[in-house]
Amino acid sequence: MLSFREVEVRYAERRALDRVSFDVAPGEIVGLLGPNGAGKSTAIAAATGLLGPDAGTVRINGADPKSPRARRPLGLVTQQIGLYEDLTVRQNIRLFASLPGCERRAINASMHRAIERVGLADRATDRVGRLSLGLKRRAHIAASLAHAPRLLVLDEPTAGLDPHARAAVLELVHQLAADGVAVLFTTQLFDEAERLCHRVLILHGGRIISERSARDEQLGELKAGELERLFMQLTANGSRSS
Amino acid sequence: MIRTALLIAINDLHRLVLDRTALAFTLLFPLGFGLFYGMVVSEVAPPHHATVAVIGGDSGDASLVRDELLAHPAIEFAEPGEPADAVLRLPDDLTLPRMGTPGELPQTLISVELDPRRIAEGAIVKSAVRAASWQATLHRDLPASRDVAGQPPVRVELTWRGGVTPPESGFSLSFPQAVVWAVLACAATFGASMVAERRAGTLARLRAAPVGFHAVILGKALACAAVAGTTGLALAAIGTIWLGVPVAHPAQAGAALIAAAIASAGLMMLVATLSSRRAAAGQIAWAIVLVLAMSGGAMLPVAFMPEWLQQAGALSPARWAIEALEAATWRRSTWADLSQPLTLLIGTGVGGFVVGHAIFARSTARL
Repeated sequence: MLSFREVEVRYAERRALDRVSFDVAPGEIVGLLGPNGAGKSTAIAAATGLLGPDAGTVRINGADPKSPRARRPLGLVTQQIGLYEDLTVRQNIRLFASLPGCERRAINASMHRAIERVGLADRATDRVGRLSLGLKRRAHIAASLAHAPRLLVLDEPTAGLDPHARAAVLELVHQLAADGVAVLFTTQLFDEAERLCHRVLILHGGRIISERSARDEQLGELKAGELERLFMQLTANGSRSS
Repeated sequence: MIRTALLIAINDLHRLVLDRTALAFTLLFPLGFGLFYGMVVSEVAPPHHATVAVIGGDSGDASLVRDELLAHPAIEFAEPGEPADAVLRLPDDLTLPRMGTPGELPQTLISVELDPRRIAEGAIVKSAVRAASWQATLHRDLPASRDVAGQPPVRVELTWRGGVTPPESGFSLSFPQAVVWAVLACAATFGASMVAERRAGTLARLRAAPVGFHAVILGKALACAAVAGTTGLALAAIGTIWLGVPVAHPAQAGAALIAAAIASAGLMMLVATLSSRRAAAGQIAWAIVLVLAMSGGAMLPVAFMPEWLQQAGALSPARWAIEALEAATWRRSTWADLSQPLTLLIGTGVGGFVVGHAIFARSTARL
């Protein structure tokens, strides 16, 4: 669904991403874990076509995400609540659902589906600015789901949430993956990565220094808190392992 | 692309309606300015003197008139190159009729050219020239006389600079200025709003949507231009229907409003690139708006400005918009006269959009 091949992104002399390669398959949740400045947000920007790589290729279903058509299956949940605070939840979702050019009936149906899915049916007519952060985050995700994306990219979607709201967001992401949506997920929280992701990529200094997969049982074998110890060890010396 | 642009434009207009402060700035402030300034101009106390640039009058009877005029308490002579309310041409072959000629003295025609905004000064100059010519005749023919009544030996004809009839109401001057305020207010408000959107993350979301970013930006420019144009139209309607502002050429007025609205969209894009923080962008935008408005004649009519400011203001889109709107309302200009301000306004809009879009798109490429 999403593929990175030897992707390099430079900001002046600094390499924000350095020959990064990975894939995200349908139904798979891939976590990007890394300290501040590791390149996580740059990877998200490259995955969503916001930023073109200086070398290498990024593809969504084989197409360059710089092209609007290639972004049709893409849903993006940014770290900031990218919604208009002066509009209601429904108005926001309707706007973002309308952009891909669907028919009005289909837009209404997908809007209601997205609102139901995030559990905001009773707050749909509230202005976003009046919601709590947890509800805003859910509305934010709903706006990304309104056009039924097959690839969902989330940049630290649980930042600043209380444990209940966090659990609700993670459960939602889990359900989406179960429905076959490919998910790329960045976080700084190890327990989140351990609980949710099928595969975890540890980014440091723009490079993937470790890859742990549930499928080859590397991730599954890790005991609670072990990922954090591994992360600290790897990012302390910046060495590469797999 | 058009569908997306319209969708974004409608969304921005909806949000403007919800934002009462922004709405007041873009709609009510220009109207308030137009009404207030129009009333001030209409009721302002008449001037007590006028500045006159005198051409000729170096010899003969013309020099006598010139000397008398120089002594007139209401007249100040402008030095060469200085701005003047009126230009008085005294032909060197001017011949004042001799006193003692049977019947009434024949009248010689003297022409005074005035800025059409200076009606009151025109009356002062006319009266002063008539008095000076009478005094000159009297002192030449009857040097010992005092206060001899009689008809002045000259007839003074006022001509308006550029062949323009002066406006009948102060609102004719203030309403083009009000439209310019609407244009500048829209540029500042929508530009600052784009900076806020970049900070809030909505632009990143729009960029990641399956639509071209050009269409998104075009939609925002359309919203800005639509509000600027609609406000201008509303102001023109209020001025025309209730306040007696003449619209000599409705088609020219329409073209001027459209060009001003396009310029507003271009300025909006430039404002959006000024800073990455909304507060800073808003403050810088208003500082620029004030400078453009002041130098362009949207606060003080150009005729009242010192010459250096008049020349500097020629670079301000506010000046071009006022010229275009005055041309279409009371100046009765031709399309040829209008072509320069229209071209400059449209150029500002298109140029500002292209440059601003390029800078803005680069700065929104990161999350």
